[in-house]
Amino acid sequence: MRRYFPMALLAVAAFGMDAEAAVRVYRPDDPGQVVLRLGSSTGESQLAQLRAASLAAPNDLDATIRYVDELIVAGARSGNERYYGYAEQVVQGAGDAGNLALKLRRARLLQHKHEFAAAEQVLGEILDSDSHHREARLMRAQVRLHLHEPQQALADCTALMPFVDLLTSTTCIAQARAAQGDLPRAQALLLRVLDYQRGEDATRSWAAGVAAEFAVRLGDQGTAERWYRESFDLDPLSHYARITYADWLLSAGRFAEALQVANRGGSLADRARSVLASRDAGTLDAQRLQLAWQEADARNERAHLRDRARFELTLLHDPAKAKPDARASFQERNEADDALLLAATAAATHDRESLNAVQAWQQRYHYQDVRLDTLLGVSR
Amino acid sequence: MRKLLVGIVLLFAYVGAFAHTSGSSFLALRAEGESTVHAEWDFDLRDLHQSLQLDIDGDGTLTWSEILAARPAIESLVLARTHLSSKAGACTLASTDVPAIAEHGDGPYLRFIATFTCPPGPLALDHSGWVAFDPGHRALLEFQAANGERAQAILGGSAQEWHATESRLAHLARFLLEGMRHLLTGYDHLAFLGVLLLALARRRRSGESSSLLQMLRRAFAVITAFTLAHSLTLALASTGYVTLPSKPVEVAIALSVMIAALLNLSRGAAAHGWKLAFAFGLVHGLGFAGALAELASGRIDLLALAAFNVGIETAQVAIAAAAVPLIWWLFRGLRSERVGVPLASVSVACVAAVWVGSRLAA
Repeated sequence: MRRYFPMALLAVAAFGMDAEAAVRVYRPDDPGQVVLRLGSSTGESQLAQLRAASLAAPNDLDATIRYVDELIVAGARSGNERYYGYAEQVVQGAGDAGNLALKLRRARLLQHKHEFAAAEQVLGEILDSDSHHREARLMRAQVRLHLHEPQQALADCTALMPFVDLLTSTTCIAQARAAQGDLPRAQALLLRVLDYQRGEDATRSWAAGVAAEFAVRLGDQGTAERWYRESFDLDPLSHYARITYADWLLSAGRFAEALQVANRGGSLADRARSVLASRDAGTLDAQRLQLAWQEADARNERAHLRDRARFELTLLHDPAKAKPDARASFQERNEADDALLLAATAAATHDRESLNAVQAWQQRYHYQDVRLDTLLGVSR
Repeated sequence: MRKLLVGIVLLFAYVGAFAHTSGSSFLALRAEGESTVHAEWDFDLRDLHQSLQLDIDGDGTLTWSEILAARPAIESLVLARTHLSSKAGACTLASTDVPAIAEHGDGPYLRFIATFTCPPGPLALDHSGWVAFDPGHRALLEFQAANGERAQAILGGSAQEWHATESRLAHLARFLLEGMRHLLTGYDHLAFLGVLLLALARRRRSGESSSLLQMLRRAFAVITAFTLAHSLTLALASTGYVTLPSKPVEVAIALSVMIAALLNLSRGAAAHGWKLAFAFGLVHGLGFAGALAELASGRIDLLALAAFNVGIETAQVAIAAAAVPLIWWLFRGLRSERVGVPLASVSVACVAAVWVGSRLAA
């Protein structure tokens, strides 16, 4: 294959990036060369059919919603953010702004963009029109958990009970209870129902993922492994199930297994875990991953900061380098994983200010986690 | 119980969501000379596929042949969603090259390679077509000006357009050069100036003759009168105090050339050169104002107006400095003056008559 720029001479990327971060430019000689695998997991053919149906009948709201749903599912499975953007464009172009089904999708996309307050408002409008709307109720409970409103989330979870199966409502209630600071009882409640009721595969995968996360926070690695594995096995196409399982395997030092799990996906988050599992920062994959992060930096994006902080901390063993990214991600996303990362970098660099910030966060949100306790305790 | 929309609700629920970064593109613009702009724009292949369904055989992969087959559609799409222009108007596509694959950190992009011809002035890029397609779209733009200066910008969200900034000095230099260019390429203005200078060679009596110095003095008077007159109307028209439709102005300019040329048949033409230059200069100023308005897209500041005018005068003086000695030398003899000046003037008058006709018919 003729390359305009040979492999060895990776051109220095445009836009002022480092030499290591190079964009390779070429024109294939072989017309049959595959330049992009669209990926079977994203159901490309199904997407193409739904897109065609939606375009053929622009006034058919059901066709539009089916297409939007498939785009959202494709995004959730692949971890490729583009699908959410495409879905947002379709939703914006759909005419009936008052339609509840459309509003639900709009709320879902707002939620994905971390615009939780806006999502909560849209979901409130849906529930004002239809207080039995179970998807809106469950989604609002999740949004309220992200807004650190566990009491209100619990009210939504409880209100769900007559309309959904026991596993769904119990998982939701357990999440709210855990957010209120009662993690052991939340875990006990959830495990009892998981033993008692099978539930739909996707629902059980979700519940198992929540149980695994609770177990990790309680320091019970055996239970965590069981539920992470079950969550992943039940829904192996789910990006989130894959990522959380890979993260746990990495934290347990089981790199070969983590590599196998992460290699099943192709998103940036999957690639980050593959690189972490390979334990080699000098590979071409690692360099291309860093190029992707630098390009994201150049576009003022923030979503990659957490993964890069983890890369710098655990692979480069450079907590000082990781700390600015960890701190920025903590300020931006303010989630438990960010608190853990910042605590780890702060403990390694004896940064008391950051440790105090994490401790204040933990106390404010009643967040129980033995890993965090250890990090904060060790530093004292 | 109706199945819950798991894909829509629960997939989010057990881990924190990722911020929506969505689609991206990389735009590189390089100005080459005064009007050529080279573009290398990288668009994510998945975005292009989403719009154009490039996977013709539906096998879940995109091959190079599928991309090449879609090249016209891809080019149309890119040009429909990304508009390049300058202050004076839209850039036109001069050529495109075979695209290439650019492997960025997050996957393969298609590099659209094109050359545009742009009217003078700072460039602007409208990327709103992509943002409308994907509200989360972010584009990273790098621009390299002809003088090597570089600028970067991020397009996306509310920032859907980019405008190249121009230093005050560069702004004035551009208007000065445009003033010069307008006179040098404006054949009607050149013809008018030519016949006015030609008139200076005319002699009332056979014994009369003038030195080069005398002729230069008279040329100075003519050019000064022409300058004062067209500066006056250029200023009035550019600042909006006088507005006239362009067609009668263009016809009047052609008529002024014809009349001035025919007046050269008179032996006393040299005597009324400056008056003629002033009278018809008023009309030519209106023509200059039209060109200036086009150049500045209707937004004219006084310094730019002055720079444009200085450009016209500079070109005018340069032409006169070259033409006057030549005319003096050519027509210094009585016979050449008696035959040559009328012949040249009638020729110009004939051409100007054609301009009058064509401008009236336009």
